[in-house]
Amino acid sequence: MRDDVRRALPVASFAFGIGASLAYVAQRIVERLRSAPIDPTLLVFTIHTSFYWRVLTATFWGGVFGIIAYAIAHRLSDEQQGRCYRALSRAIVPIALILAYCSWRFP
Amino acid sequence: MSFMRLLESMHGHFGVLLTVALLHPAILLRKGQPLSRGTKWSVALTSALSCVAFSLGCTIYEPYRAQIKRPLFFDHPSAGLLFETKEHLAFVVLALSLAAGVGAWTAPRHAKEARQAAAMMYATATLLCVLVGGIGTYVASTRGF
Repeated sequence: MRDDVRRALPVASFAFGIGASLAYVAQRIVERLRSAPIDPTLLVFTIHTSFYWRVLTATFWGGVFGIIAYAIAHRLSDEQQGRCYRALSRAIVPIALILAYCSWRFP
Repeated sequence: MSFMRLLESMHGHFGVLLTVALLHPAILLRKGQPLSRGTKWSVALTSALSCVAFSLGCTIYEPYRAQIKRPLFFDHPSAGLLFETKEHLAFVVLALSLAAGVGAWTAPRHAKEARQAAAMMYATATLLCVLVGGIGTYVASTRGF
């Protein structure tokens, strides 16, 4: 694998992980805000494939975020990439806590 | 014991195993050293285990919706809503663990910070996996197959 490709891949991979997670939770929030509160009597009519589609769509958006991050990371120096990784290390726990809160608030 | 009950138990056990497995690469990668053979195995097996646990969850999701979801929401609405939360967090765990695995695996030898970031992602995924496991156990104890 070429060195410049190898340098940018971790950034793209991390962008995929965070982007897919954000996209999934964002989709669910939009779904919940557009619909009424859950009615147990109507649950039998909900389709199980909506979960699979949500997963696939979030994976697609994660891929888009990854490609964008790859294109940007390609142009960054080692030092700039290092700063990105350090910022990511600091941000990942707060992001996860916000996602957990949103998942609980808009289940 | 029904087949669905067996799959449900396997899903739960894989989930608990995954919680421990996610912690292992988080510890191994925290200093940012290049991947040793053991670390490569740890990263690969953790990624594989997260895929297996999530796939099992997807497999039993349709029977869950047909047999469990409605009575669960009727009798214990809060547990039903917690299950939805667990479902969302499980995807976040999968995405973070796969991203951390690929990131750690592809990072060049000099990219110490990349491996440390992967370690943080694994640690975060562990934290969320503990939540997912706890909620899953609570919901399964409330109503299962």
